[in-house]
Amino acid sequence: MTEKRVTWDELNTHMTDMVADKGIKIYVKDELAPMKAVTIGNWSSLFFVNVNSEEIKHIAGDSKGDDWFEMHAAHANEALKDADPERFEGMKKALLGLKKAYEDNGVTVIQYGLDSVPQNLEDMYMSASEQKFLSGYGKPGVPFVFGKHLLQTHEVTLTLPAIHLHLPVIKQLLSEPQNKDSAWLTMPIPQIDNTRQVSHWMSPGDPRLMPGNRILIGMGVDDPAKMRPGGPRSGADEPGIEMLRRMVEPYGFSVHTFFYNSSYSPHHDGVMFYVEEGLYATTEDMIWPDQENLPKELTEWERITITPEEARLGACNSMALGSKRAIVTSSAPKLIEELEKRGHSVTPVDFAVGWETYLSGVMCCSMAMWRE
Amino acid sequence: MDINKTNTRNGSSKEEWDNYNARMVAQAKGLKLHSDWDCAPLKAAYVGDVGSVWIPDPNTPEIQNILKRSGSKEQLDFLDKHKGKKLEDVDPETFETLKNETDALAKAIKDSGAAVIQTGKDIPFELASFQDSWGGPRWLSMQGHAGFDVVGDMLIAGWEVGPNRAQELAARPAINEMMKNSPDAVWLTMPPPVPNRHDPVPAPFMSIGDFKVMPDKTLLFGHGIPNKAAIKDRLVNRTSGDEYGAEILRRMVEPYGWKVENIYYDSQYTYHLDALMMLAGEGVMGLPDVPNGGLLSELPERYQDWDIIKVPVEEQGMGACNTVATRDKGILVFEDCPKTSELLAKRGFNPIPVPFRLNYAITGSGLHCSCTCFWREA
Repeated sequence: MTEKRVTWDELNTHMTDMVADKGIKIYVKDELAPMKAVTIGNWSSLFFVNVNSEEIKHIAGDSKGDDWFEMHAAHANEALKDADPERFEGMKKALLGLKKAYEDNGVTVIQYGLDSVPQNLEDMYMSASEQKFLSGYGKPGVPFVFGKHLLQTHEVTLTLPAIHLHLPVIKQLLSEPQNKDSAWLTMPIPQIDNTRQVSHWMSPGDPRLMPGNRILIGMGVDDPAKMRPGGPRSGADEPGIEMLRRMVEPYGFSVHTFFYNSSYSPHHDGVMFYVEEGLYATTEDMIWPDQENLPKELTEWERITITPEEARLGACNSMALGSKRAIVTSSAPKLIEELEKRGHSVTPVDFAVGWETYLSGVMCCSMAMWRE
Repeated sequence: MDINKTNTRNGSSKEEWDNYNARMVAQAKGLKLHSDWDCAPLKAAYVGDVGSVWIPDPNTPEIQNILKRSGSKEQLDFLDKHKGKKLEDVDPETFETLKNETDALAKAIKDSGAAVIQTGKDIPFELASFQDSWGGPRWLSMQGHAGFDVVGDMLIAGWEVGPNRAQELAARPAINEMMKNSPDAVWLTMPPPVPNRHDPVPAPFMSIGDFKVMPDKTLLFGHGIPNKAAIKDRLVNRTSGDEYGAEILRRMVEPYGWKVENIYYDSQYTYHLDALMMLAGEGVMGLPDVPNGGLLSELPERYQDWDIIKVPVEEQGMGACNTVATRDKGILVFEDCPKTSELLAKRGFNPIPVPFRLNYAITGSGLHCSCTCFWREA
């Protein structure tokens, strides 16, 4: 029997009611400030990825092996629920576990809770890039919040419909008095050219908001020789960064960049865990040597060294909650131990299935809406 | 598994995209993105083309909403007859006329001394078909003003109705090139519309045709409504941009020193402000010769002492207000709107007639709707 599919009206009502009149602010002082509200991914539209695509080869090529590509190629664009029910249940459990971890820390969670999405949302990018909508990531669902403003960036095309799933949330929050001064900026949507990785790119996984209105953007290369201007980048590239810089500077924010080792992850949020002001965590070989003008966070702050093994299981994709609290994948016991040694309270979540299936960890699945 | 094997999807080849990109980049060499206001001397424009003339279905909620009061029977019958079809295949004669008109517009702009960028006829097919999978319409490519406009140093990208949504993507290679030449340019995009075929106005909505760029760093944002009472009744659909879209635009542009002000007009005359209000030069605008110029709210006080040309209502209905100022008082006008030309000439302007009747009759898009004047500078 065919399951009843959610309608646009049901979607709009469900999402609007979730946030209406709860006083949720659109405001992030910086990503180390105490978190009060977050949007996270959901299980309504989980598919195997069509890996026979230039953007997927580009983004996952440095960090994922043949087995990952083969797993997805065998079921490209098939629903996880049908093709691999066990993996689907694992993803759903992980996403609900993530929700609970936030709620246990007093954070309001915005998570779509219906079991399907309208058909045209699921298929939105099929004709452009032959990718079904992947709803598991939370970051592409709502814009990056800098100060009181929203900046919509764009991940690979399979996640682009996420913004439309969350549009009722943004509309509702912008209509409430506490957000009357929030601007909503959007980067250009990616070109619909499937024959290459498009340029002028900025994923939501690339910019990070540091204290002092500083936006840090990491550029991934798998070989330091590729740090040369115009070389290939795994995520944000220089033209994309320049576009972002010009957008945010009038709002009083500055942009700073560095290069990292993309063999761990295509995005900044997969390689650097900023724990609290003055402390970050990553592997010893993550930041490529001999870079001029490294951001002060990477030269002046103390570093917890993450093992390469734990980094490859999503340890760097952890989430600081402020006030010495963090959510970390339970696949990273050594990192958890290091944090606890320093007096941090860690909530572990079992997110291995997300990392294994979609290279998606705690932070990829979350976008802070309010930190203050 | 060889992950580098050629992408097998049935789309345009890399060579087709390479050729397209190279053609667009070549046209953009040396050009920049900056516009003081709608009548500053024109130096370069992106002009619509006939690379993808797919006829939209007039029975969808969004097209019904936009044409409900101002669409002519001729227009609706034509759209209904050819909906979902590629015009070149089903009516080559009409297609050829549209092409000739578009070429005439491009030539008039070039003759004024400005540079022109056009896509040409060979475009990557994805530009036409990228909305197929959710039931969206194919690209109707003549509306060169549907994708973006330039305001000061801001490139503002918007989305228009479904049939026009590929326009900014089509111009993208040229825009990327011009961004390099424009160190102060900032690229701002309105939120993309929801892929919902049943939504007549996918809020927050703003068409690039909804605002006029005034000389005092103001965007005058027009909302088409059926009567004055609808100003306060937000449940009445606007023909195009809504107040929410205008508010998103306002918050976006204010840090760059620009403001947005709303005005309301009677949607029986048109669905976009740029077909109601003609800006001819500083202190001179045109509005239809009807009570209050078709406006349902007052013009901001500082524009009330402008010389307002009363455009004969029958010519306004033919697109006469949808003009393009060039330079040295030149202004592109419809060749078959002689009374409007005469009124402009009397004020010292130089009307330059362009044959564009069929474009307007079929799509409701005139000269201004068909080009983006992205470089205007004294």
